[in-house]
Amino acid sequence: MKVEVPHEEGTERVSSAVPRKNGAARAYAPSVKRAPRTNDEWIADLRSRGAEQTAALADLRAYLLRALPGCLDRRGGLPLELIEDVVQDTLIRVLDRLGDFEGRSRFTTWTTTIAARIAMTELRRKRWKDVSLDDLTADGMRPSHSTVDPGRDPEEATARNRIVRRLLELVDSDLSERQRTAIVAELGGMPQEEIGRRLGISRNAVYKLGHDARRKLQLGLEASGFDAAAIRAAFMQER
Amino acid sequence: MGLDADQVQRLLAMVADTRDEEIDCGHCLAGMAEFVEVSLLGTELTEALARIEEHLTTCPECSEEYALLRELLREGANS
Repeated sequence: MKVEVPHEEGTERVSSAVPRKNGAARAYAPSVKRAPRTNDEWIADLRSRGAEQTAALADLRAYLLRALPGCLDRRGGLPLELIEDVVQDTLIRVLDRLGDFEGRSRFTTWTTTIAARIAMTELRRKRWKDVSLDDLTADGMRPSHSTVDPGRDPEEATARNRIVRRLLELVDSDLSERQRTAIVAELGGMPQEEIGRRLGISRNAVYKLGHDARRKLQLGLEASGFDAAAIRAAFMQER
Repeated sequence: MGLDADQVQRLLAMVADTRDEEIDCGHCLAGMAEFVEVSLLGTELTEALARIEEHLTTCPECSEEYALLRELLREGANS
């Protein structure tokens, strides 16, 4: 990862300041004897160039490694080498984004949110690496079987069928191909960042694509007399 | 593979819950550290934090990350 930061004597790669998992890492034992840092101390130490920064990075690394392996094990797990990469990427991102930290939480909590996102991204990549968008979207929105329980009251079943029919019409008429793809893939369980990876767009862009699609469907259903309350009454009472 | 009954109902639930203005995953991440600490303390959410809570109920990925965050804080903990 190539992250450049200003340095008194020019520039240096932040990654070179981050303790490594192999031999070099042993030179940066966490400073476990010192009192916990305040937020300001974390920022000052990480912005310094020298022993303070090295010690702060080593402490952050040790802090993250305390719980990550166990928590990730319960989610399918990552090889130790990838967990080390997660921590490494987290430290690089933290150094890169120190200016974004507004002090609204403990610094370590902020750091942990970044680690959680990077770790889940790795887990999702591992889980979904062999699944293509085509696998999930080949048949588009065509229902694979009846959406109505045959044992339901006929009037309720008719109301539900009308909503479903209108929904699927709107999907065909009002959504773009990309919106349909994103929605179908999401309903198939594919995470947004994996959809984005395959569409060549960011996770935020996938979220917006999905939100715009849901909003269009919502407005279309409302115009047909099916507002949120009607949908919930027809479909969600039993949930 | 077409949509099964459960997927159609989930789509309808997503549509019914859609708000005109929603924050995206980037905004959610930016506020998540403050949100988790306020939630753990049980104090009242500001309007900005309430929007993060809304996002967490509709975004499975952010919700997963939030669950992992809570576990990491509990087990690794702010020590």
